[in-house]
Amino acid sequence: MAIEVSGLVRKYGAHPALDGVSLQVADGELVALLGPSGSGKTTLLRAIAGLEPLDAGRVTYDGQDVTDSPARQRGVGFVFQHYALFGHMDVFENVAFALRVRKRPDAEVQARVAELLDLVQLGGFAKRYPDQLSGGQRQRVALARALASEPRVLLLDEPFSALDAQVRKDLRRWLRSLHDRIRTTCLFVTHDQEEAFELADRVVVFHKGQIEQDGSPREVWRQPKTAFVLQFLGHVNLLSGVQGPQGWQGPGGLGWSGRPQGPAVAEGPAVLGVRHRDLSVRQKAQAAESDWLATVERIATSGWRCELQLRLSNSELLTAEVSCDELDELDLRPGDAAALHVRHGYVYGA
Amino acid sequence: MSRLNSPRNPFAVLAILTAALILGLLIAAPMAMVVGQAFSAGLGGWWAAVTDEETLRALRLSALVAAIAVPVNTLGGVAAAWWIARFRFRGRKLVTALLDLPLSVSPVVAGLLFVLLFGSQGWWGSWLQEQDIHILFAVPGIALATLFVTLPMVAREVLPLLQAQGSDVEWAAVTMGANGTQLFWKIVFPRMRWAVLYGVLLTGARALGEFGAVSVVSGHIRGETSTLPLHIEVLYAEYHSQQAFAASSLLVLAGLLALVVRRALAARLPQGAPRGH
Amino acid sequence: MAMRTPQLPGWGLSASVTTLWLGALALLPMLALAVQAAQVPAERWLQVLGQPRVVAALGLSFAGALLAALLSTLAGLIIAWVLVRYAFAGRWLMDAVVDLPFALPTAVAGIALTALWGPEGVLGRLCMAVFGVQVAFTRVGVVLALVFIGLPFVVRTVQPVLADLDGAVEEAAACLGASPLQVLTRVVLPPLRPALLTGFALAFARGVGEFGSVVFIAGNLPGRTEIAPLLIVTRLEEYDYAGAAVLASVLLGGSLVLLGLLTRMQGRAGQA
Repeated sequence: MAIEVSGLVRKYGAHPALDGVSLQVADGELVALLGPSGSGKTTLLRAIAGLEPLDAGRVTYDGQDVTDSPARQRGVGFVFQHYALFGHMDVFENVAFALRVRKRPDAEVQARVAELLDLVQLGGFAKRYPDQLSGGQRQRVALARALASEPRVLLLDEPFSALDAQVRKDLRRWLRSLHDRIRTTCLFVTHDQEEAFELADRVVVFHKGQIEQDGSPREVWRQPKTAFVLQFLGHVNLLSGVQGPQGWQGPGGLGWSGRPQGPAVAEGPAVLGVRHRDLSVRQKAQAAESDWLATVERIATSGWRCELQLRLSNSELLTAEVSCDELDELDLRPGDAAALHVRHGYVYGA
Repeated sequence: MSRLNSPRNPFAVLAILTAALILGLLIAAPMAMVVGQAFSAGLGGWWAAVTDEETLRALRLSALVAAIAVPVNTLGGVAAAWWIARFRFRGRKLVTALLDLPLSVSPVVAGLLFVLLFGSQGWWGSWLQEQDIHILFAVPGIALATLFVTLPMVAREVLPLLQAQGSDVEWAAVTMGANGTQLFWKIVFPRMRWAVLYGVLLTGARALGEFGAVSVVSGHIRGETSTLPLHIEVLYAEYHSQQAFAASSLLVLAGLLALVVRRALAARLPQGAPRGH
Repeated sequence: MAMRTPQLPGWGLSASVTTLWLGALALLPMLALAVQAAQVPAERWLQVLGQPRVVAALGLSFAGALLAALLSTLAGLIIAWVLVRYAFAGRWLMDAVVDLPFALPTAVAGIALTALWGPEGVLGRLCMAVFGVQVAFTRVGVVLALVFIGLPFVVRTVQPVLADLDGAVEEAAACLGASPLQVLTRVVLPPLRPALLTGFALAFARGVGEFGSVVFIAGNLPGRTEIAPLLIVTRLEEYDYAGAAVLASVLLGGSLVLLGLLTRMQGRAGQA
């Protein structure tokens, strides 16, 4: 089922949780709603489900306006962040709930629940109660329960945030393969950039109630549209300066005239973003003309990855990331002088 | 809270009105009656009734009984709470059951228990008569009956608190060399003082207001063994409504004080709401 | 030699104080009742319990407490619901009123209720005029007084459980297609059952033995509006210790048994 929302506004008092959000999702897509907490992504998910009253805007399913229809008529499968399982019912009755409230015949209920429990690999758990299950198992019951009514769309609110790292990774992979199998349109909310990129066909980045960028993971990574998106994706140095006719210039004589990724920027105050991995480091002796001079302040390592913290002459601190093998070759130590070269840079108007 | 119940749907309005009606007619109205009747002869009338000779004597007796019940049951209650909460021993279940017992017993039965012990046909009845010691129909009997009825009130506040607080802090103190006395006065008691305070207020209010048990053991001897509630009964029976309710207002004040303190202490005590007596 | 489990100080003192305190003030008096009741020969038991007056009094106390507990549970659920789920002007006042019966000593409550619902009282006359029903000095009055004291128990037991319910669970049920009524009956009420049962039990136990709040409004007509505790008092005044002990044992035993049953029902329901 295709979903379209246009101009959604939802205010809490004076504060807008959704500030004019429009989005289209094609049938069968797996879309990640990504952003920091309070950015509006969960509010949008709930608005699509019909759990959130709107101050303005329309929601349509397959062209049909459902804005005024209540949640229970929309046919959505919603999986809550903390699962919201019915504690007084066993796993079987939880999954069967959607069928029971529609008064389906018992034989049908039995068959469908068995099928769903097999799908989520909880075949022998029918008689257990939620408080006897682990987090990952509860999550799968919540999914099975949501799927029971054959929903037109599956909405998941931070489905893995309450789980251990390893369980999270396993469930992520499992969800992707499930989606590939059942092909239901699926939207999920996350604040974890890695998770969004690994799972989704499309990533929508939220900031302060609005959509900052909407594209495939690859697009979003290579062409972040705004400084916020670049910074949210992490591991980036941001420097304030000015965009002039010769390129970007920062305080203390810093300059960069390379071609920026992304749209052209007008002259005036501008921010230069350089990913940690895009900052290459050499010994001062081998500096090129356009390189920046800096002193190595600290070196940290996490296995194969090494991180250098470098202090510029204008006393700004930058981080560069290299493989530790590279670092060994460079033979740099804290206190040494180094030269920095910006391989790719992003410039945004401030 | 669910977003599904919009605050002004008709079912909600009906429910709110029903609740208001029930509470208003059943509970607020009698309270209003007490206050209204107590002051129906104005402030002067209230004062006159409250300072009446016999009323004061009854009040003094009730206060005396409360002054006995509170310390004894506080001491016993704190000791019992400590023993039950911090130690495992055989008979723990029995002790806990005994502690809860007075609450399941009708006040009249409570009075009966002491009649069976000290009444003229009781266990020690004849011996007491020989010694010319009066338990029943005298202050000691009233005190004992009141002690029974208010027995677990302090313990019931302190015990859950001790259980909820855990003993880590106490162990830390012990490993640092505190002996029993130091442990109690410097660590344990300060942490439980609000629960003790509330328990004391509950005990005091109930001790002042106990009717059924005292009715059985006191003999209703006016001026001598009439506690305040018994005196109120007499006043009412003799159609002195205003005086009866004026005297009642004193007891109601004590009860309200306990309630107000409870609300103020809500954050510091583990249970969610005021519990009955 | 194995080391003894280390213990906090104070075992000796707390144990001895508690034993003395409970022994003298709780155990001993209960033993007196047990012994006295045991000493009454079986025929006397049957004779006492066979008296129509006794049957009527016990019946009124138990049945009245049962009915009142049921009414309290229903009313208490409505009131707890309103206090938790709706926001409205004056909610704080309603919440405070629920506690008032805890502040009133039983005798004061008793005479206040009688003054209010008696033939001369405001509500008593209103009830007579509108419904033609007399409240004071009838069984209706007995039940009314018992609801007065039982209602707060139910409200305060149900309220915290209701407040703790996760709103997400109701939203989940709605998304799964449940109508508001279905959400109520299948998802919201079931978790409340243990609390309702507990509240009912507390109200019932309290009501069976209640004296001061009921004895004024009841009217105390032997065989019709005489409650069991009053009959016990009467027997004591007649120096009939045996009869009083029998009655007391039935009263106490009956409520303990019922409480035990309810606790077991709770346990089997699978909820803590």
